[in-house]
Amino acid sequence: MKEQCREFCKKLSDYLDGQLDENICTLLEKHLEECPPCGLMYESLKTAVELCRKGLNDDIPEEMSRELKAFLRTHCKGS
Amino acid sequence: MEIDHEVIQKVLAGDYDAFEVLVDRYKGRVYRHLRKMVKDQSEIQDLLQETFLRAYKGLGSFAGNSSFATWLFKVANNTALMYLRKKRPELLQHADDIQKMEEFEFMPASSEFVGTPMEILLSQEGRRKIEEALDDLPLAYRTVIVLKDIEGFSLDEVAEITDSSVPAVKSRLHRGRNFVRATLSSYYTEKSTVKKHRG
Repeated sequence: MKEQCREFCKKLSDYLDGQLDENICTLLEKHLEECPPCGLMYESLKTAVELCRKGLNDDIPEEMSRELKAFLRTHCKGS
Repeated sequence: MEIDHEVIQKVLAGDYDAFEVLVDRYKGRVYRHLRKMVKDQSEIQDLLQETFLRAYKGLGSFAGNSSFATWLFKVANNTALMYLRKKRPELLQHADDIQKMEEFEFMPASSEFVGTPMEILLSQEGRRKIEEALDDLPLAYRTVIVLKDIEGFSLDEVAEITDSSVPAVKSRLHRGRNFVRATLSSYYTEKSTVKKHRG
């Protein structure tokens, strides 16, 4: 990987979080358009973040929820 | 829906039922966070109970400088870390394994991963792979991904919850996300190669 590409790739996570200055954003966006491997790198990083958000949203098991409330009622109420 | 601050005032005035409102509001999110710190369901249950018990007892010390969610997650995080220090210190020894993480940072992206439709990426098998990729991450990296990308806390809030600086959180997010990206990319590239060979 070229040094310039490495430098841009180091900024991709901050870019996803809206943490880069406007002028750096402009340079990065231009590079992503012109450099297919870096463009692909950005797309795959974005996909990975999206998958974590959408793929790991399981809820607390009902039984655990009931036991939590029973535990807290015993230990907190009237304390 | 009453805002947290109003509910907290009721709890502090002795209304226990109001505390259950907070428990209902946050139990699922705290469960997801703890589930990514310890694996065993009974350990998760103990830590969940301990977290809310500590929150109830310590609610008077909540100064409102942060959101209640940030404060509660900090209680949960510290409760889990104390437990791990005692029972599973080996999990914390490699909590910030920079060397392991660096090799994934610039691993080339795969068009097979990006080109896979979302319904396959989020199928039962796809979700298992996401779960495995996260589980392979050192704890410090996994924690920031869970807090930022899954629970939606801001960078400042993640830093507050994990007692870290914002630059440290950014650095862990960058490396952790790239680890997940590289792990999933390798899996889908390999899967596509096998499919092609089978023809």
